[in-house]
Parts: sequence; structure tokens; C-alpha cells
Amino acid sequence: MTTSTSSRRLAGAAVLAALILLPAALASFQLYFVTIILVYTIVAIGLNILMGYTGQISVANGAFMGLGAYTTALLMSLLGLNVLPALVGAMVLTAALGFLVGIPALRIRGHYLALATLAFQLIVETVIMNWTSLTGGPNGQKVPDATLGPWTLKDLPLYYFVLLVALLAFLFARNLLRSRFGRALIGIRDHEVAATVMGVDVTWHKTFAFALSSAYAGLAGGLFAITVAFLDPLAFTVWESVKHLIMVILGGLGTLVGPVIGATLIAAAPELLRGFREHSLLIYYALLLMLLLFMPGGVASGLERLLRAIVTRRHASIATAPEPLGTGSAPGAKAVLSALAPVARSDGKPLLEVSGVGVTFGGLAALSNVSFTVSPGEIKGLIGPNGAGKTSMFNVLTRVYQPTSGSVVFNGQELLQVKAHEIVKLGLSRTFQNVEMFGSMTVLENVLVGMHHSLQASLLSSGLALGSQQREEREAVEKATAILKFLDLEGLKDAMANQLPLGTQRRVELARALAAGPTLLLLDEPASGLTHSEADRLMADVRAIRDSGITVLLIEHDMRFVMGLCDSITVLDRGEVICIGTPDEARANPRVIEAYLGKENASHA
Amino acid sequence: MLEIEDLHVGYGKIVAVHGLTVSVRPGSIVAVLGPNGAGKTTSVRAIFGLLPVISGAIRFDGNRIDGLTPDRIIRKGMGLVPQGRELFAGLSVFDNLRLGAYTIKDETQIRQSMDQVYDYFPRLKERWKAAAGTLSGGEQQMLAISRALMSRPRLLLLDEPSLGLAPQVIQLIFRILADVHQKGVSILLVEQNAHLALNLAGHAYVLETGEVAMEGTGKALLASEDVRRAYLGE
Repeated sequence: MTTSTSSRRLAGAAVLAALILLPAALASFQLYFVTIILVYTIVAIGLNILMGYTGQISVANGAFMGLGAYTTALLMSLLGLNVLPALVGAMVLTAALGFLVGIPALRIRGHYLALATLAFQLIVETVIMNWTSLTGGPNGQKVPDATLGPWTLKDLPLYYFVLLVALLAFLFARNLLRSRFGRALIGIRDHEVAATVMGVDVTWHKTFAFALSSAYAGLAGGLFAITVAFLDPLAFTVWESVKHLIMVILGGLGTLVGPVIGATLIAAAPELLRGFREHSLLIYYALLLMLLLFMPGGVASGLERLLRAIVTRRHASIATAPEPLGTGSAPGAKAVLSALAPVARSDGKPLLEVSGVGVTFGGLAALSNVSFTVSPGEIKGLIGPNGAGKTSMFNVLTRVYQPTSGSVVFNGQELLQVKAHEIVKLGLSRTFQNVEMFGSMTVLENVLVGMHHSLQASLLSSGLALGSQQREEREAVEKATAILKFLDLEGLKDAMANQLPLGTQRRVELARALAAGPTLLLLDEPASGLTHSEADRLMADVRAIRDSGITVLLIEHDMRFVMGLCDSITVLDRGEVICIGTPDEARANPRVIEAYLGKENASHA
Repeated sequence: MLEIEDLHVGYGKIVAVHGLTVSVRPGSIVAVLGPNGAGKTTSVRAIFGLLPVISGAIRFDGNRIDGLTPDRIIRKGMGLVPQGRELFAGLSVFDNLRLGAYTIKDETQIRQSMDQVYDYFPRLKERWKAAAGTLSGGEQQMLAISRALMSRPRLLLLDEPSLGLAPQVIQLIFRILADVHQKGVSILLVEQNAHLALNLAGHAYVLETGEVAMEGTGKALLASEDVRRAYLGE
């Protein structure tokens, strides 16, 4: 890990040094051309935040670049602003427009989002073309000379200026994507519901990603304007947007260097292939097709695979689940866990009070008039046949489902008035029946997403990697590592979550839920897919979790697990509570035997 | 019927299964147990052509099938009930079953298979119009097994059919698996519920970290001290 980080740094430094020395070797028209490539890297880095990391598509990026270009040019020519304020103005305008477009557009998905952004693209094109008095329309727009201090931004000074801005843009994006914001965005891409339950405001983050990528396009547009000195409205059509898409996809979605590589290839190719004259376009697109075929996932990840294949030839064994220990609690686990959790009430009232909750889907009642309570400090089981409504109940508690009736009071507060992403702040976190990992993140990053709501770092301090943010991040990593140690997962912290066996993923999910610092922990079939000894280990873990002061409500079909662990049990059948009592009472209840346990289990369970 | 010899499978540079040797005789039920990460699911996916094999051989009826695509393997008479069921959630029960019979041309055969699975699981017949995604977990598992049976396999691979199911449904599923076996289908069963699996299986293997750690008849393993401790919790 460290060797690859340092070799990556080395490669970065080498590229930067080459870029600094490059002008000495180039003629002025070649320098112009490299400057344009640098401008495009900024475009691609921005679009990658939206497409690669957040998983949203936009075909309006060309329009935002155009808006940035015209805004910069007009602020300089009409208001006589200097280049820096003009660029900032372009970024603010494009970010604001991106935000406004993003709010409604990001509530829709996939093809519809693509169409919505396409509509915006076409509107901007039309406005630029027809608002002749302002933009010059089809006649184009002259861009005034830009000066910065003693320099006129042309040729060499312009090149270094753009290089500096591109470097800053890259570093800002890199820092941001490695912070809690980056994790939130990837979380949304990998699994929206899981991200919401961990406290990520999905709508806000998507809109923010849209605004940020628009600001990057706006900034690049401004630099483009200064570089080309004359704006042609046809430079910012939907084809421009498509070009941006190709850059990001070809380079490698969701990788840091991918957009830089993609932008370089796409912007440089026509120029490099010029020698082939009328065949150049044919060759260009043939090469593009070959790259997409042979490097699916983009050039960046293709190169990475290639490098890895050369460097490491030896076979590593797949990570396995922890050895059964039986005791479960690592030293200090109690301190780690209780330090995270908000204080539960101790006034003798229930921690959770579900009364009369009903949920219907298209006339079908998933839950009807369900009432039960969970006392502080207990382990409570929620059992019942498949389809009885147990997971629906969890979805009501975490606000994934909106009940048609009833109320849920948690720690003295009515939950049904709280937004889904705010539930975790109140001290409620959960795991999922089907294990919803953030597959493209490491184990450690998954756990860090669990802490999202408790981290304070602002956007700006994250992007600039300020000391306060770095300190907070280090502390979070420490806490997360302690939780992983408690669950014997520390050795796997750098493993990709989606490469782990299912049972291990369940443990990681438990770690993530614990990292959220719950007062009440909801576990949805935690022992499913575990062997007996693994389930034994988990039972010990859950007891240790309870002993640290966290109340547990769990759904489980493994009766040995439920009977051995739970203090009390609520049994659901067809959306209704059919039994509330101790494990022994539930086991002896004829309705429970009839609906759920079956005779065989009742006799030897 | 199925001979797996010194099988190695992995993901990228990680080798999850190294040197697995397992055989399933015609007409038998073979169970594979093992902790998480032992390579059970990886092996099943490799047998069915869903993961490339690094080395080793997989023979079905004496012919090599490693390297074949899943559709060829289905046509040779193998069926898979994957972990997590993997149904076509938006399609009806009926359409899921029809897709299960994708490789079968003869409409009479399809109708026979359909009657057969409805006979095994009358609940599916009642809900034949419902979208698979709206079924309960138990019904979904019934559908997953039925869909695999629609291709009229001679060997059925099941990856953790009891996962996430209520005790009563698990009993039902295992009863039906015994019926399916009675009707002449051989079964390779990967299962965490060691008690049920060993009671059903004639022969069983215990996998640990990608290799066979133990094998024997279901009865012998049920009686084994190590198995009882690690997998039966006794």
C-alpha cells in the first residue's frame, strides 16, 4: 500500500516536472495546444466527480463550459473585471445554475436525468446563439486580453497559469474525494438506501456534486476563453458535452487520474493524427473503439491492472472470517463502543415504543396495527415467517418506508417526523438483510461512512485538506480501526468490501452500524449464512455490544441464536403481532409453532 | 457424474480455491459445508462456468466442461440455484419459470416441468401472476429452485438454499429436495445448515480455506467430533 502510494507520488512529481519543463521543447503553437489539453483536464476532473463518483449522468457539461467561457469574457469586456474575479464570477454563476438545475433534475434517474440535462444543454445553446446583443450570437465574441500582475496571459505565462489552476483543481478534487464528502458520494453511487441510513443526505450531496462539476466546467470555460481569445458559439454544443463524457469514460470513471488521462488522449488525438489527413477521423474513432473494447473500465484502471500484473505475480489467499474465539470481546471494546454511543434514557420508560403501526403497499397490508416496545439495555428478537413484515418494520424505523398509521417514539422523540438521513443522528443504526456494502470502497472506508454524521469538516476544509480536517479524519480512522479490531476485522481494513465472502461482509456491515454510534442497533438476520461456530462468535459479540450500553433489536431465523441471545421476543405473522414474551413463552406458544417454528423445531429447539 | 479434480479458482490475484477435488456419483446427494470464505460459492460459480478456472479439471459425464459457458453447461444437464436467488424481480412467477426453460424447445416437456414444480410448490401456482420481487423470501427460494428445475437438469447445484428462510420453510424446501432426488435428479448442495444438509446427503465434504479438510458419508460426519463442534454447535 505504502509502496504504491509513494510510487504514485513519484509518477505525479515526474509528470509535473515534465509539464514545467515542457515549454522549452515546444514551439508556440504546440504550447497553445498543450494549454488546451490542460483546460480539458479540469473539465474532466469536474465531470468525473458527478459521473464517476456520484454515479449521475449529465450531457449538459458543454453548456456549463460555454456559460463559463461567455461569463468570463463578458465580465472582462463589459465590466472591465480582471481575470481572477472574472473566473471566480464564472464559477459562481455556473455553480449556482448547476445547483438550480440539479435540484429538480437529480430527483430523476438514469435515462430521464440524461434527457433533462440534454434539455438544459439545448436551452443554453439556443440562448447563446440568439441573445445577439449580449453574446454576439453567430458572430462570436471577442475575449479581451487578460493580465495578471506584470504578465499578459498569453503563450508562456498563460501556460503556467493554466497549469497552476489545473494542479489546484486536481488537488482540491483529490482531497475532497478522500474526505467524508467523497465517501458520501461513492456511498450514494454504490447504495443510496444504505448511504441514507448512515446519515448521508442523498439529495443534497447529488445536487452539490452537480454544482461542483458545473463550477469546474465553468472555470475551464473561462480559461478556454482566455486561451482561444475568440468564442465561437458552436464550440459549446451537445457534441462538446459528448466529448466530455468520452474523456471521463475512456479515462476511467471513478478514478483520480482517469479523467486526466482521458482528457489528454481525446484532446490530443486529433492533433497527433493530423498527418493521416482525410483518414484521421477514421483512425481516431477506430482507436477509441479499441481502447473501449480492450480496456473496459477505462485506461486508468487498465494501466493499473497491467502494472499490478507485472509487479505482483504471487498469489495471495482470500481473506477469511475471523477464527472462532468464543469470548468475542477484545480488551477495550467496551470503552470504544460506549464512547461512541449517545446516552440512552434511564428513566424506566421504553427506549423504543411502536404503537399501532400500519404499512400498506397498493392495498396490500405489510403491517397492520403493530405495537411493541424495546427497553433500554435489552436484546430483543423480532421473528416470524418470511413475508411477515419484519424487515418492513425495520424500514419504518429507519424511515425508508412511510407508515399509513401509527406512531414510533424513540428516546422520547416521534420518529415519523424525522427525515431518513437524520435518524442515525438520534442514535438508530441498522444492518440489512441482503448485506448492502459500499462495494467499491475498502472495509475501513465503509466503516468511516458510518461516522459520516458525526464528522464536522466543511467542504472547503476537506477540499483544502486543512489541519483541522486532517486531525478529525485521523481520529475517525483510529475509532474505526478500534471497532474493526473489536470484530477481528482489522487485518482486512484495506480489502475491497465486495471481494469478501458474504459472512465477512455481514461483520463489516455490523462494524459500519456500530461506527454510527447507535443507542439502538437494528440487526437484520445477522447470523444468516454463518456456521454454528461463527454464529457463536457473533452471539458473544452482540452480548459485548449490549454490555457496552447499546440496546439491540434483531431479526433472525436461526432459533438457536434467537433463543440463546434474546431477553424478549416479538413474533409477527402476516403483518400482525401474534406473540410477545420471553423466548420460552414464544417457543411454547401454539400460534408461533403453527405459523413459524413447525413441529420439528418446537420439539428440539 | 461430476468430477472435480484439483480445481483452482480466484478473483484477480486472489486464489480462493486451491486444489479442490470433489465427485458426485449419479443419483447421489452430496453436501459441501464450510465456514465463510472457505471457497464454497466460488467453487459453485466455477463449476457452472460463471468464473474462469485457473487450473484443474471439471468433468460432467466424463467430458471436460471447464471453459464452457453457462448456457452450454445447462444444455448438458446441470441446473443452478444461485446464492441470493437472483430472480428476475420484475417478471411474474410464470415468466421466471418460462425463462428457466429457455433451453427446452419441446412445449410438452415445458408443460410437464411446469406441472411438476407447481406440484412441488402449490404456493407458486396460486401466485403465478405475481412479480417475483413481491414474493416473500420463502416463495422466492421456491421459485429459484423451480426455475432451475425447468431446464430438466440431471444434476442440481444449490448454493445455500436455506439462507434467510424461516424454520418452517426450510423444512419444506428440504422435503422437496428429497422428492426431487427421488425423481432421479442428483444434487450438489452447498449449505451452512449442517444439521439438515448432513441428514439429507449421502456424502459430504467440509471445505476450509479453499481445500477439502474432511469428507465422508453424511452419517459419519454427523458423528464426527470436529464437525459436531464447529458446525453443529455441540
